[in-house]
Amino acid sequence: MNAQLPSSPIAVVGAITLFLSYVLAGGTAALGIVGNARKNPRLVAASVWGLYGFFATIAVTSALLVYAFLTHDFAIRYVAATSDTSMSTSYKITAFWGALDGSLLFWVLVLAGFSTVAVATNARRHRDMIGYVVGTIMVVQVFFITLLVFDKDPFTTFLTDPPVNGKGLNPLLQNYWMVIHPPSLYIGFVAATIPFAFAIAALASGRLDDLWLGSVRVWALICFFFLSFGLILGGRWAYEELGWGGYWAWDPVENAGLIPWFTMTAFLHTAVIQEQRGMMKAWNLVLVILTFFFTIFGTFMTRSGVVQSVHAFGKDNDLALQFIVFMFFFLIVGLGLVIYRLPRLRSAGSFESFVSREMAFLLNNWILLACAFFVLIVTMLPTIREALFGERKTIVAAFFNLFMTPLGLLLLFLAGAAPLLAWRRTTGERLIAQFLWPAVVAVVTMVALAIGVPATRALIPVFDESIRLPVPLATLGLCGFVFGSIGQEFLRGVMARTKQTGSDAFTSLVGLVMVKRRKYGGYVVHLGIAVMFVGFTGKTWDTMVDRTIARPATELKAAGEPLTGAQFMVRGYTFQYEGLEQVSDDNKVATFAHVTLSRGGERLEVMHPARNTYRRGTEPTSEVAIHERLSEDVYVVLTGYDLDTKLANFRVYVNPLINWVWIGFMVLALGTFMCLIPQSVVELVSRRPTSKLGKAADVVGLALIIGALVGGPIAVARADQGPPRVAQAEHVDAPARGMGHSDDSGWAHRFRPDTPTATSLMKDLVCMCGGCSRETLFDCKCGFAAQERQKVLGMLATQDLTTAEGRKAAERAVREAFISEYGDDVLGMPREKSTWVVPYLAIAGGLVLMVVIGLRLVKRGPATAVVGDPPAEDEAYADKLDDELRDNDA
Amino acid sequence: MRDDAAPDATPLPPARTVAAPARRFGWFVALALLPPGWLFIAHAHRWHVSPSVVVLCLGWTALIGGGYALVRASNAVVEDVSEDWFVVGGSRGELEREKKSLIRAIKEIEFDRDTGKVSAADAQAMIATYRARAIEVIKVLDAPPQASPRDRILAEIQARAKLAKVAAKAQQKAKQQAGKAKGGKGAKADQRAAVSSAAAVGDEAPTVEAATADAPEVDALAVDAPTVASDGAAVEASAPDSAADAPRAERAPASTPSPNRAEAAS
Repeated sequence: MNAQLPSSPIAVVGAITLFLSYVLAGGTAALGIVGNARKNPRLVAASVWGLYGFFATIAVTSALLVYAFLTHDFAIRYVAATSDTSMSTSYKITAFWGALDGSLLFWVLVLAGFSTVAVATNARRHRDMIGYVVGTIMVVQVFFITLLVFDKDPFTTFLTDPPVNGKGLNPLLQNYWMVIHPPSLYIGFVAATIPFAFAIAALASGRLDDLWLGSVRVWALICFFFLSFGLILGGRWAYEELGWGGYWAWDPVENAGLIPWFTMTAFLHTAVIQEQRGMMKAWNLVLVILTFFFTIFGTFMTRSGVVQSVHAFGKDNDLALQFIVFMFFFLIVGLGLVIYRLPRLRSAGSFESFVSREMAFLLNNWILLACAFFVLIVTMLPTIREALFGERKTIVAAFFNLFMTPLGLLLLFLAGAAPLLAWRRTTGERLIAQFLWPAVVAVVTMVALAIGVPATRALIPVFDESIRLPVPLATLGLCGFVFGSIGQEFLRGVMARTKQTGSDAFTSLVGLVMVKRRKYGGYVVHLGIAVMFVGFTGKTWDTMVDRTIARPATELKAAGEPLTGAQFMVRGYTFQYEGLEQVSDDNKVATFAHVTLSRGGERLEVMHPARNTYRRGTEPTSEVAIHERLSEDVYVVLTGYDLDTKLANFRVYVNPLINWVWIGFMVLALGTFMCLIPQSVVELVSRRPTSKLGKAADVVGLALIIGALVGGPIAVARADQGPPRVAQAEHVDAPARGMGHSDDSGWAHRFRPDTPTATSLMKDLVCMCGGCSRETLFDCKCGFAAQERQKVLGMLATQDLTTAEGRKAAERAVREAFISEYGDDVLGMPREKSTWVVPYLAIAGGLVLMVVIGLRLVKRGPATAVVGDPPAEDEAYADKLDDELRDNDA
Repeated sequence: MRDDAAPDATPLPPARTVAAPARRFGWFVALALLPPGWLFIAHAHRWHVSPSVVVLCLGWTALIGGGYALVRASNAVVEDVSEDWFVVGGSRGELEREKKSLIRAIKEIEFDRDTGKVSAADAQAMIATYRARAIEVIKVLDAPPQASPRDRILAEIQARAKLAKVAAKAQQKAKQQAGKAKGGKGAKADQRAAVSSAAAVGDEAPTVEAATADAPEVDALAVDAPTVASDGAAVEASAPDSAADAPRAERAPASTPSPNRAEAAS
């Protein structure tokens, strides 16, 4: 036995602090819950300090793990599995959450930090329930830390000699977007725990007024912002790195972040109803509990391997079971407490009319929840089928789009309509006055686009393949409606404030935004959503083209041959393939193609799409080249090459309006920040400067803010003239979408569809190569997909495609042939009636339920509405109230 | 993280009443331990400040912070805590929030009226309703503030002690006068005078109710209190019971909706 046991002091100390944290978490949870239940302030105070101590111990544990990464302590298995000596410092830190064990520890760390801030700032205000808050948070922590201590310990060491070098982080994750994308999603997920803990504490303590709501609003906004940020970063990462030209494909892991986003957005709206009208108390609690449930469910989906995704962790049935028990424990406890407290959760107010802002919010809740449950059900459908029938079914993005497109349009309409409605009721006359101009903007936009840009009249299927509507035209018209609505709100708000305060328009605008920042911040968020929808619309007109160029321009020039042999055109852009170049470092060999992009004779830039081959034998990855413009992006992928002959295969995408998605997010972020401005900051900036220096500082501050706001969009706009996007030496990754199959041989351009029927079929049939289960034959770049495409083209060649009936028969014949060969799994769109019925039932059922509830509530409304003259006011108290109203600038 | 929600109207009672100097000393010790650790880490890495050194220093800081938090947690279990620790603002705080909410609602309707969302008539009707409610709330808030249960009990004890002192003085005076009368003529007449004087003093002496009249709500507790005892034992014995009941008495209004809310709910 000469084998020497590896020693790692870091692992030993880390394991000790991790176990200490585990004990501390359990003790603190018990102290908080027992202390609050027995009204023992000493125990509650001890639990609060215990929570702070837990944060400190988990911070020590995390610091030790990061230290192990930085010092290449490969005796620790986790470090050896996710890092190597060639990685840069930033990626070594990223490796901390790069795999399952570390990501769980990171989750605990972020929650510990958040809960420390939340408890420290609310402990005095919520003394009567802070013990329950601490207890709830720590029970959540106990679950995660139990996983870490007993199952996924990141400090486990090798029993034999440790490796000299680690395996390195997955190239997929070695990307600057991935440095910030997972943490932002985690932060969004974790932030949902704080409102949940306060909701449970309010229910347990019986303190059911809206005090808890005021304390969690900030955390709900943080959750909303970081979920949005995480989702958009994930989209940007997919766009730049996955090489398929898009940013959203309804990937299960991205859906896991989207589902709680829906419920949290719904909560942010109904929380306003509770604050303004004292209504929907129970519903708000349910939404907070659901949001928390969905964040844990999302974590479960990602970490248990129950769904297939480009960035899910491996399959782990034990972990899945533990997550299921934990999720349902909290769901049952939460909803059980709501039912127990239901008699005390009666609304103080009631709906007075269907045409009111409350009703618009209720409608918005129905749509958001319909979206959440639809995405949840369809995402989980393959897993459910696998559990029931033993086979996994792929559902392609087109199926999600069928339902989510109309629901999204309804949400867009509400984003413009709700701000125009008054609380309680809006009369017919006022309704017309409010809707007139936004409706005019919408109609003018639609007419102008329908005439000037015929492409906007494209018919897109909604709900069913047979129902086709001009979705792009409707979307852009509704965006116009939202712009008109929000613009009108700002304009009328400024006019009203100018009248009230007598100040100039600019001062009134600033005052309006600062004083009513939650309302106008929310409007800006709506504006951002509308801008994003403009970007989404561009997807209708995107183009994908595959081309093979046999000889580069440099060779043709040397041979005195015309350069047209090295050129190809896509939507008015000319691409000239100049040549191949190969560079290498310790980690990889990168092969670049140089492509000159020009339009109308004007040279725009030289693009450098690349493919990286890793020395460690991992799959080759693509490095895309993007020419960004506000109107459209030109996106080039090097899908294959031959170094000897200099042959190169390219896939080119032209993506109209895509940058408006990112710009829309920036507007959304601005609106969220406006909502988050604390009162103390408003009071600080409201003080008039007394010195010249103070006035100068104000002017400089204002200039900086305006500069920052304008700078973002300009930075994107400047991309038009920006320098070429050369792949960075360290920027290694972006695999072709399919994992487990190589596409180096350049099959992507082979056997492309030559008719609309072929395109339609290839977009519906899934590649069954086994390495790219979520890609269609149209998108997949592998050789197997090329063969299948050839098969489709061959079958169609024998069919009559000249008549509509003939085309239908041909499609049917090809589908049947593929089904007989591979079974139903080969179809991207599910054919079973049950699959279609569930979303219909969910959406229609929700609508019926909402109407029934609305009718019931509206009937109750007039009873509490003003009837007759109010009683005469006591003069002295009326004066006092007037004074308070005068002093309040709400 | 607290937002711009209404601050609590009633000042919170002090969280703990002891150990402030000890806490400051604890802070000092924790802060004093940090630099030696940082220096040791830097020395162990030959004064080369690398990311790993920074991470270790952060870890050391967290370790000290954790130690301090755990010491405070253990101290919290034995520290003296005021009895009304769990009372946060009570019904008064809730009423303050309701008032602010009503004022916000009135301002919102005024703004909606100015921006043309609601007609002047509708706005007036809705504002009138909210004004009526707001005035009711202000009336309740303007009533003399209730003392905390602890203050009420202390006031009661002081009042009873004062009463016992006055009664004892009166008795002593009566005895003295009675003693003088024994030595002189007309003793019977003087004795009668002394007794009537003592009775007069007794009449003038404040009752519990009168003595604690400046402490609001004391009559509510005085009803439950045992009859006045000269030795004070019964008073002390009654205090814990009162203290035990007091938080309940204070909390009760918090869960009871204000008249306006009750009206709205009906």
